[in-house]
Amino acid sequence: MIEVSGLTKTYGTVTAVDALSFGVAPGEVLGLVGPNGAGKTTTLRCLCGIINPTVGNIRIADHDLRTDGPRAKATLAFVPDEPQLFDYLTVDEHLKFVGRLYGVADAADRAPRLLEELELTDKRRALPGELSRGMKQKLAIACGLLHRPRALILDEPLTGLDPAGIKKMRATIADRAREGAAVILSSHLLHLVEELCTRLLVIRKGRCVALGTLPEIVATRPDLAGQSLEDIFLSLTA
Amino acid sequence: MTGTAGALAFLIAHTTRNRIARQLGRLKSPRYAIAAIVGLLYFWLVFARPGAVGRNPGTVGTSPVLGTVGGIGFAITVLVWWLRGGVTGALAFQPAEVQLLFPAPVSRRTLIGYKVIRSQLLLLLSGLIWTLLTRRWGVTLSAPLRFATIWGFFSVLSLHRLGTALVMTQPLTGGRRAALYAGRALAAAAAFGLLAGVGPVVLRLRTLGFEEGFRALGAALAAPPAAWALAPFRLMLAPLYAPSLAAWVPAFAIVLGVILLHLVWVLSLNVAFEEVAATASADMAKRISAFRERRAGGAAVIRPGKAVRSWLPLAPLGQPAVAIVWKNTVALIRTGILRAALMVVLVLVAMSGVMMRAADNGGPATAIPFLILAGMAFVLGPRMVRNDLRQDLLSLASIKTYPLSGAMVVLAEMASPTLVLSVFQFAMLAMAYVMLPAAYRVVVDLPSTLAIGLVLPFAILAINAASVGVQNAVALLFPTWVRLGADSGGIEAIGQTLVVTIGSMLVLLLSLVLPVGAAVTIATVLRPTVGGIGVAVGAAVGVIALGIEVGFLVGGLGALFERTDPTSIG
Repeated sequence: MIEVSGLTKTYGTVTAVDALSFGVAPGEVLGLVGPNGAGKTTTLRCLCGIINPTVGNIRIADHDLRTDGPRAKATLAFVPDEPQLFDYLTVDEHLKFVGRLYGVADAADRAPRLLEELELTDKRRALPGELSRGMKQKLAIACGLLHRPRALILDEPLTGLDPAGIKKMRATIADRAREGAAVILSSHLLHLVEELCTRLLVIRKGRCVALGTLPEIVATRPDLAGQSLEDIFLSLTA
Repeated sequence: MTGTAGALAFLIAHTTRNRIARQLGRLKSPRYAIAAIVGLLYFWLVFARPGAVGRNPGTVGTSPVLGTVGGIGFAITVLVWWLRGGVTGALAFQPAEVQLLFPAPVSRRTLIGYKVIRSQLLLLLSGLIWTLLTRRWGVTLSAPLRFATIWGFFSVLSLHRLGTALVMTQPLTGGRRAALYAGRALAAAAAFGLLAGVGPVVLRLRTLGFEEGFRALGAALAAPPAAWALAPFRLMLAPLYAPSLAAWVPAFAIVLGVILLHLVWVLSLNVAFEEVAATASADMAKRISAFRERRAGGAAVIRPGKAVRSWLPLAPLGQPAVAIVWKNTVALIRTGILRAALMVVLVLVAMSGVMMRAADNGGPATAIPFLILAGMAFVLGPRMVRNDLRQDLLSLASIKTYPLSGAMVVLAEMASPTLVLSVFQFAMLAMAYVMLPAAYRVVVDLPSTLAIGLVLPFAILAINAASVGVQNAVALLFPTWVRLGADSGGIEAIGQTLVVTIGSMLVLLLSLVLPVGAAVTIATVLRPTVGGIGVAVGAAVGVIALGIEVGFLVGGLGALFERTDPTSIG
């Protein structure tokens, strides 16, 4: 579903992402982890077409992101860590807008259900300025899920959510993966990564330092056997 | 200085020093340096160059009319504060001050004292600007006296507003309740005095005529009871129109005395203002942020709680790009620009109606307001109506994930302001034609009228598309010029606006050279043989040429949009 080969992004003399190659199959949840400044957000932004890679290819649902951008983007959703909403559209109108943009035929039916699921029904006529940080995040998630994306890219999706919201979001991510979506989840919450992700991609200074399931990673580094994910992460990224 | 006072003095001194250092440091960047140079040049040309003084120096500075007019404005402002309230903004602190100073062991009196000193920085700067402005208006006082006078007036105004806000802070207790009632009673008495003095003259204005009415109004304001009501306000402005230094010194001494009295007043009010101040501070922070965002290139920001159900429908399925046009038009509706435009049109219709009732049916003048508005909408409209990429620059990361090509996004972003401006301008031109008395309408044969009528809407659309396209091109090509940064301000912001305005006007004029040239040539060649239709054919060719240019612009901007890294936009 998501295929990345040789992804490199440079800014002048700085290499933010260096020759990353990986794939995410339908139903799989890939955890993207790394220390601050490792290049996680740059990688995710490249995968969504927000920034163009300097070198490398990205294919989403068999569409090349560079040459067939609109088709590739039609199948994916990106939920950033800082929700970007339009100040002048209400909660309802955000979903109406996204529905039309992605051609969601049943948006009128789906939108109220999503709002209910994310506990935003009472706020459906509110502008973003009237929402709390967590509610804004929930709206961004609702917008991302409305068109049933086949590739779901989440950058710190739990930021600002309350415990109930976190629990629901965890269930939502797992449900989407069960329904066949390929999910990439970037988070510093390692227990969340451990719980939800089927595979891990650990990056440091833009480079892949580990890729695979936890047992596969430990198999390549026997010294990490028996350690917690936190210790494994710290060892890999030290 | 030690303890709390020392910490607050440190805060004021260091924040001021760091702010100035930051602004000077920014000048190392060419865009800020150029903007600052252009801004300074503009300021010098308008206010400071030799000969920039008003044509009749002395006529304003020594005229008691200034005292009367200024006094009325001052009086109305203060009376409204006392009678209507709504002055909690005077208690606003900066968010960091609320967070760090309110829970700190700082007394209320010290906090108010800090606020008074802090506000002096702004008052001194305002005094400097107004000193320059009043030079241009021909006030004859020397610059230092003018500066001192204006600073004194602003200080009284600022302290009085702070005092009023403190007196009105809820819950009202014994002494403050009495002070509020006394203040309101005085304000009501002053308002009554003003109305009682001026009201009868205003009612007779129609019969008295302009000159006689103006004289009668002046006499009424100079006599009791209006004169009594205005006296304290005139006193505060008296130094500004003092004819000599000897007259200025005692007048200014009175102002200084009033400032001292106000200081004692605000520092002696021990009011639990923290809650009101925290709310006012949050409101102020939002307003400042909204203002900066707008100045920095964004659209007007909507106040929370002001959302109205949009009357603009959006079909759930269809061309996806239409969703962007819809979104941007909803933004325009919600930011109130359309409502403001409608109000202007209603005023114009009323003005035009009044003119039509004149003896000669108003003549061609009845159409002029509409033509002026249409012209202004052509020149200023694309700068003012910015519900396009300029508004969405900060949401670029989100917009780049949409399943649309770059060219389609750019076209959709440009569509809303182009359509709205075109409809408005066409309506204004149609109104001008309708309002024009039949005797003044140019008679053209029917085929020519039809031909011109068919071409005109497309011509308007093409010109607006080109103009909006140029503005969006500037936004995408030079995002840092369109958006210098939310914390930029002052001289560099003025300079930046000038550079962008002049630059985009030049590009627009250049883009019109070829289409207008083609249109004029064809019209000149065809008109002798086919009359008005020749003009229409020429205009049509011009419109097509401009349309092709816009097409290239959209294609180029689309490619640029796809290459643009949102992180490069401040």
